[in-house]
Amino acid sequence: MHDLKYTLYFETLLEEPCNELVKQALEEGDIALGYNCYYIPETLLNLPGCFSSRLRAPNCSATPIGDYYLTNRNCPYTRAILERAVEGSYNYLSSLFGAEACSAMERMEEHFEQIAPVKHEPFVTTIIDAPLKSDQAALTYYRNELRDKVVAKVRELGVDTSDDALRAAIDDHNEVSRIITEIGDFRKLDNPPVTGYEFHLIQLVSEVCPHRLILPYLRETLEEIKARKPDATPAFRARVVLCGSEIDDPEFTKLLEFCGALVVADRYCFGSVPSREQIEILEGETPFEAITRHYLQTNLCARFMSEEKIDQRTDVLEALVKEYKADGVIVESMKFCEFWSYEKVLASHILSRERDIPTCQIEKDYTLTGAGQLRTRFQAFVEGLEIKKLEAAGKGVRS
Amino acid sequence: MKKEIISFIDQKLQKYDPVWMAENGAGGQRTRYRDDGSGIARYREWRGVEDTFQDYVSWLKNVGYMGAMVAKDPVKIMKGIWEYRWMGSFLGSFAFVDRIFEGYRGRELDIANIHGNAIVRILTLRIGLILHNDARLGGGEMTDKMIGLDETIPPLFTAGFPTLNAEPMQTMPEFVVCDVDQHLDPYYIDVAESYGLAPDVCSRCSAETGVAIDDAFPVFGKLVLSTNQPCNASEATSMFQRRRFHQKGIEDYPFVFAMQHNTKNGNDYSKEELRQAIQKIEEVYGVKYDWDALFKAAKNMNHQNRIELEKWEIFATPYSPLSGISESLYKLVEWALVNGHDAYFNEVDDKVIEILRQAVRDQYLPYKGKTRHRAFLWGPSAMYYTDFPTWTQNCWGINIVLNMDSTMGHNMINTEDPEQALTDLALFSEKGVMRHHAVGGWDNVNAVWEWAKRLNCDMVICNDNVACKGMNGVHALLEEQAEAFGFHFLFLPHDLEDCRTIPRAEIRKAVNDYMSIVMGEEPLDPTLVDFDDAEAW
Repeated sequence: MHDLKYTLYFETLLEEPCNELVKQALEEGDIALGYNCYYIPETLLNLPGCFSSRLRAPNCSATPIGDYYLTNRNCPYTRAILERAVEGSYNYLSSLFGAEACSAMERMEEHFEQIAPVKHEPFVTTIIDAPLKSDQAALTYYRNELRDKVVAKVRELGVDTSDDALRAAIDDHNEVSRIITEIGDFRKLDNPPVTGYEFHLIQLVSEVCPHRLILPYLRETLEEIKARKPDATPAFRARVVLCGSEIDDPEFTKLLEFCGALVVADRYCFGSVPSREQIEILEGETPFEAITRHYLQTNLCARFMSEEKIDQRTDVLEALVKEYKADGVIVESMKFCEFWSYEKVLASHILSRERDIPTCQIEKDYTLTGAGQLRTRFQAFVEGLEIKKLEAAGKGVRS
Repeated sequence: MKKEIISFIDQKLQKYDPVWMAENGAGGQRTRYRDDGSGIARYREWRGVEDTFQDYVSWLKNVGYMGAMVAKDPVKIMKGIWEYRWMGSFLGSFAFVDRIFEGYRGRELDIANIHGNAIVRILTLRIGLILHNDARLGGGEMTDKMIGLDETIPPLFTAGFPTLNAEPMQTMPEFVVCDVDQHLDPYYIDVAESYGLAPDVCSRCSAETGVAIDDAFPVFGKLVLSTNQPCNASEATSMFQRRRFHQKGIEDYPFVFAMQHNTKNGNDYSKEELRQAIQKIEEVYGVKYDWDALFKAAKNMNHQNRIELEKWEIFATPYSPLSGISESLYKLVEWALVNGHDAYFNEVDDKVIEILRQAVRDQYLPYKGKTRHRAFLWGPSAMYYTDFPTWTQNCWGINIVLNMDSTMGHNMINTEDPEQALTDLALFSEKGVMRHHAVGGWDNVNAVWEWAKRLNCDMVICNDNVACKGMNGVHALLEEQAEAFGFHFLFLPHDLEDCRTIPRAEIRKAVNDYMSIVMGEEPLDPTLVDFDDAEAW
């Protein structure tokens, strides 16, 4: 397939947190509100006059400052973010809205307050306590935390947080989500006109760029993909669902696809599952209530402890495998990530032994170090999937 | 006359007293040990006539408790030893009690043995109860009336179910047994890691996971309350353990607490969770919550906490014969395991506080006045090196005045109004083991300096659990704060329950290096500076 018109442009936008579109929005008078977890609904940050900016640390190859503050035995994502903060990469932000989703994340966010690495006036840091269940008590707690620590702070920054503004933010979210979902749905086809790598780029730019500025590019890309002719023979030998934590480097998806595995669904922290579902305002709900309910219900974080949320995680993976006709699942965990280390083992056990879905577990750094080892793992997994398919087709291959 | 005879014998035999030996360059605490790393002593510590006799009587008392446990149901105990690997490790209890109170004399020893007896008493009672009712071993009359609790859930609230019995699931198979035998948990950690769990997760939680995979939890009750206390890995391992419990037909209910436990929102949430957990137990066991029973236990707890607050005042003076492991281990058991359920511990507290008050009146200097530094021990400590505070005192004269975990929930609980009692209990329960100061935000961790000042400490030793992501995340900030506040400060590396990653000798080395290189001091007992106890219990 020929490249998409904006592939290179999207890649460029992902090179730096303060990219061309972020700069343009700032020049036009908007303020940038940083966040780094799905527990913080981006919809609450995409109000008139402000835009959300999910924190990434692209091209961060070493983290000496992050190691000093958080030790080199801690989550590499958080170390990289702190490193880039100290280097000045986030000086465009007016806030960091954090969530105590895990200890490493919480500690990193605290440093935004304690050592004040972001040189911007004003700059506020708040950290919400994120619930571990999804029942009514948890929802009430979640709402209270978001109301007091996010919405109130956004309002203090001079942003309109009225119901009308939130309703407009929901419309904006739904429009972005509609386009991305439509693009993503092409991956259900036997020979999709979009690769996992391209989709990863599209999803990421929608998380790090102001929606009003990226939307025209997304719309045009959707039209282009609709008309795009895939190669007659697919370049991929297997279809996989990628599941895991902070995967915000499209090069990782590229590496996987070079090994012959098309990533048909992205169930990880920066992925579209969850994040690109439609927000519905139920009867009697305020927009704020709708947003908070939606984000708690759709959240698939590995830290949820209640039975329905634990089951939801593997059920969603199984459903994705069926819907996207995947041959297997790759479960990733970031080095030093406690939640995903457990989830990786548990999900693999449930999927492979109880639901008969081939699963590959990998552990990786935030950056793509150890790419050689990963390549070997992926190649072996793809070969395994191929053999299974041949066996299933009765072509005489014995395992 | 009696005094003179004792004094005469003491003088004659003092050459066998390790403290005297160290003072006189004739050896020290390690002299009586075999040289093969086994940690086996060739003879008991000679502490002088009175102290040795007192210590021996206390030792016999412990034997009595253990004997009573076996005598109550010898078949189940034998079956338990046969069934569970961890039961074998409790055979190291005698060596454990001797080890942790090494070098103690006089009033320090009096209190240590009172505490030691109380700990052995309650543990033997609980082990006996668990094994007697373990469905795997045939079950007992309480099997279906027991509630499994995650060991980090403070059990006070369960006192409102007087016909039921709440027992911590992990305490015996994994937690307290690591105090006794450093070599047990590595087995369970290996089980979890061979299953795929990353070796960089918290070793305590990894060991719990291994116990679950190895199917080594005792089986009792209809319901297990899991929890997010104290931290991330705990939450995650609960999701493993629940599968094992389900397999045994035991329901799991996640009883969670706000992570940020110093906020109104957080407290409201924890209170609601507490209410729901009570409802869940009522529903599963078909019983009603008895507030009077709760209030009775809460009175015990309040009594304990009132004494605790007074103890802290005494700890701030140089006259407290209670410190180090004698203080922290007892407090851990009394708070986390007993939690108001057993009035016997109130009696122990009453006895001990009297000794402390008298010590202040007498201006008694503990450890023969050899304390050089008063240290606050911050962060969760290495479970496999319980006698570390004893070692710091004996080797370097560093008195561990208080330990972070001894600051657990100490608010009073209302004993008349159920609604207020719930609010108080929620606050109390949020501040549990390894949690009060280790999670919930920077201010909680940074409180160390206030504690250290309040207790007149000149030194802060910060446990550096290599796998604790939360405490790793404040490394540099704490170091910078120590400099700003002018405390002697060192990190103490360990791996919580895995003695292989950072053995005890390496933990000691961190202190040795700091004391000799930074502080330029000489050890009180040179035999304790470098020795091999890698193979010891």
